[in-house]
Parts: sequence; structure tokens; C-alpha cells
Amino acid sequence: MEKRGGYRLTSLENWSRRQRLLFAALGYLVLAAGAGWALQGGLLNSIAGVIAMSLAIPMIGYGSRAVCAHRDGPMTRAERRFTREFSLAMPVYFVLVILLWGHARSLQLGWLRALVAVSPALPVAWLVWAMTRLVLQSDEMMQRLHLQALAVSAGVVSVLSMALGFLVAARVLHLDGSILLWVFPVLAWVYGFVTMWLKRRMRGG
Amino acid sequence: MRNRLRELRAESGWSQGDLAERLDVSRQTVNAIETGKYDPSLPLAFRIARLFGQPIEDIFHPDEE
Repeated sequence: MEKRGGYRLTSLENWSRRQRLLFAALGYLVLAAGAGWALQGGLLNSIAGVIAMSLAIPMIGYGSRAVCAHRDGPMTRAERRFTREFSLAMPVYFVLVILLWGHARSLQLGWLRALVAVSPALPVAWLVWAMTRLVLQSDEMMQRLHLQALAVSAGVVSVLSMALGFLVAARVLHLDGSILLWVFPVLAWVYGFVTMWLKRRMRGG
Repeated sequence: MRNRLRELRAESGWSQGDLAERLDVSRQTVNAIETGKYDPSLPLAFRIARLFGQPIEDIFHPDEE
């Protein structure tokens, strides 16, 4: 059952639709700029990139939801909690990947190298837990919608990974294990796209 | 399944958001039920019936063959 926090409107949801769209779009721009800085390398660029991307995540999270507020209603308590946790987990992920993970190869101690190398998986696990809780706290129709989106995304990722696995095993493609890093992002993108499409279909759009 | 949810909600002077809050579901769910895109579970149908003080069969009707 949906845990709702009443009809407390945030100031963002009171902005005009154009302002909300601009805010969310600005979030994507800041994210792209931050990623650009981080990719340039160097400590200062990396720190600037992490700060920019960390600021962009809540702008995108709250902004995108506020854009839909006129038709989906204000954020529920579960959605607010998820967005807050998403806005905290992603900066932790950026810090670990951009500022720490790159040093794993230079570490001498095996256990420390393994710990640093696997550290970005911790905020990902937090994110997966937050997403699971969001789904469990949704109402019956939204749970069904999430289940359908998960089934489609799991199917797409399974077929893609099996196809790539066969290509690599037959030595048609040469890929290393780092390709596995794309499994979760692809799953999340397909899941997000299918969820958006299903919500649109439910509205009759 | 056809239903009279929109009509009953209008008679009560509630918005979709008001009804969603009373039923403890999302506004998208209320909209999907009203437009016939989603058929509610039996427990939710009972909550709707109780809220409007009417039997389920007066609110929800099976599609004609």
C-alpha cells in the first residue's frame, strides 16, 4: 500500500512548469559539465567534477518529478525518501569511482586493493535497496507496473549479455571483464524507459 | 470492466488527488481505474465501495460480451 505523506507541496512543485523544466534541464547540463571535468583528469578537475555531478543529481531527481507533478500529484513519502537516498548514494558513488577507485591498481596489499576496487558497489547496493523499498511501498497498480518494467529490463539485459558472451567465447569480439560494469546501468535505463512508457499507456497517452 | 468511479468522485466534489489520499493509493492509480486502464484488486474495490457507501456491483460492471 502506498505510504503517503499527505499533500505537502514543496516549493519546487509550486514553480511554473517552465521553471521546473528549466531546473531539471539545468541538472542534466551540470551533470554533463561535471562528467566532462572529471574525464579531463587531475585532482582539481576530478573534485570539481564530483561536486558538479553531486549537485546535479538532486536537481534531476527532484526537478524531473516536479515536472510530472501536475499529472502524477505531489511526491509521496516513499518517493521523497527514495529521491533523498538517491541524492546521497550517487555522490558517494562519484567520490569512490572518481577519486578512489583509480588508485586500486597501485596498492600493494591485496585485501586493501580488493576493498578499494569493490568499494563503488556499496552505494550501488544502497541504491538497489532504496529502489526495492520504493517498489514495496508503492500501491498495487504501481507494483504491477514496476514488475512489468523489471521483467522487460531483465529480459533485454539477459539477451544482450548472452549474445555478447557467445560472441566473446567464439572470439568474434574481444572484451574484458569490465563490460560487466554496464549490466546495472543498462538494466536501470531500460527499466526507467519501460516504466515511463507504461505510465504513459496507463494515462491513455 | 466499466465503473462509475469518476461520476461518484464528481458527485462528492473530490479531485483525483483527494480520492487517492482517501484510498491510500497514487493519483495515477485513480486515473487508471477511472479510464478503465486498470481493474482494482478485490480489497481496493471493497475500499472504494465502502468509501462511497455502495455495493461493489453498483460501482463496477463487467464489460458487455
